[in-house]
Amino acid sequence: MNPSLAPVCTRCKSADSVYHRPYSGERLCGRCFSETLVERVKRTINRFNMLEHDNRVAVGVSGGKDSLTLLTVLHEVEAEWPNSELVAVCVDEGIRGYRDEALGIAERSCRELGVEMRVVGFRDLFGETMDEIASRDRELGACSYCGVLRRRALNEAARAVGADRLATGHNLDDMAQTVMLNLLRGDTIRAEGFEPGGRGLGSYVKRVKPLCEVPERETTFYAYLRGFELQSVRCPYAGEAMRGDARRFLNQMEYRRPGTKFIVYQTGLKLASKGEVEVAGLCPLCGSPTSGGVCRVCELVGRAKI
Amino acid sequence: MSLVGVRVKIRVLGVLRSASEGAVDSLCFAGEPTVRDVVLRLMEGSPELRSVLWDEAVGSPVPNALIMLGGIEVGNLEGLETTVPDGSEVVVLSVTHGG
Repeated sequence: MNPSLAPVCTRCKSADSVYHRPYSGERLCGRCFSETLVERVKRTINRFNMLEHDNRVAVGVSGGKDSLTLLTVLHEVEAEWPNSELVAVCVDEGIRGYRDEALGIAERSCRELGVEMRVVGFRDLFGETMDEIASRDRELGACSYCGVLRRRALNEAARAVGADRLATGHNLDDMAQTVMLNLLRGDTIRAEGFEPGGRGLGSYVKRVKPLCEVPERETTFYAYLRGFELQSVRCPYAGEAMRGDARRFLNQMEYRRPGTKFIVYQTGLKLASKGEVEVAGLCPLCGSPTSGGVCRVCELVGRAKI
Repeated sequence: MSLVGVRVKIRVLGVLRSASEGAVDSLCFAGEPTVRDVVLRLMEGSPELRSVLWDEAVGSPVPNALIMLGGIEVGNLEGLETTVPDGSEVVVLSVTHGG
């Protein structure tokens, strides 16, 4: 088929389509693609009661395509809610080359949208950069440290800017991978971590995931349509994560059987809603809510310093 | 006798750009290639690009990347079998890194 013969958009029925959603059969022009993505995010926000009209929302911005999509879409949604505010919060893990580039992209994007930006660093919060932690002998992969410490850093940043919501760029693929990883590890699906609408526990700012029903292919195509500046440097530790195996498996399944990721995600929602939130008390070292004893962050930071 | 070939502009974006060393900006073919031909040629001599772009299990780059021909995602055309006309632009963008 010649590209000039692309089918007409199945939504507006006037413009040529540029994107096919295999799981729904839609063929969409650029405008309808973007509009339906934003509509889906709005529906997700409402379905899970993620935001209220007067929230100060900290948006976790890494400089990657997902978080830039989140920031741009929330900026559009927020324009309809004059009493709400957005502030971008960025974490500098101290990964030379990789994070430097991403923070530059985040800064330029925030400036373009007129959104305030705040950066917090692993060194300031935990005394070490991710590169320093990764250089030590360690039992766990770098991502095991980084994921836990990033979550804490984002929460600290959200608290520091006075936010009552923390929005993160987790997309449908991330959610489906989390379900798979929990199954592979023999874990239950922890409601407080999985629920897209979040749960405010103690000193944790309520964490919401407005992109949780948007496939990663679509955040990528949105980034392409909008002309976002894209990261060119891979995280040097990315290959260590077990999540990569789950990602490959799910991508192959989605390729063969479109809709697989939605099904896995929906299964996760069913399982998570049956799980109880386990908060037994506060960490004796940092005072954060924990399911018992020393929290995972203090455990990892202590382990990293050995 | 001169051979008039087909020239295809290539733009590799995101992390795939560093994997491809950013070196290729166009490819020439004797006749109209398919998108699959373009991708296979692009990966020739670049094991690093192949490792992040090509999914060996399904024999396709589609699980890992978006490929656009003239601004249209090729899944909206005939996928990897879409014919690439002379002078058109193919954009390859990683889906799976840089979130």
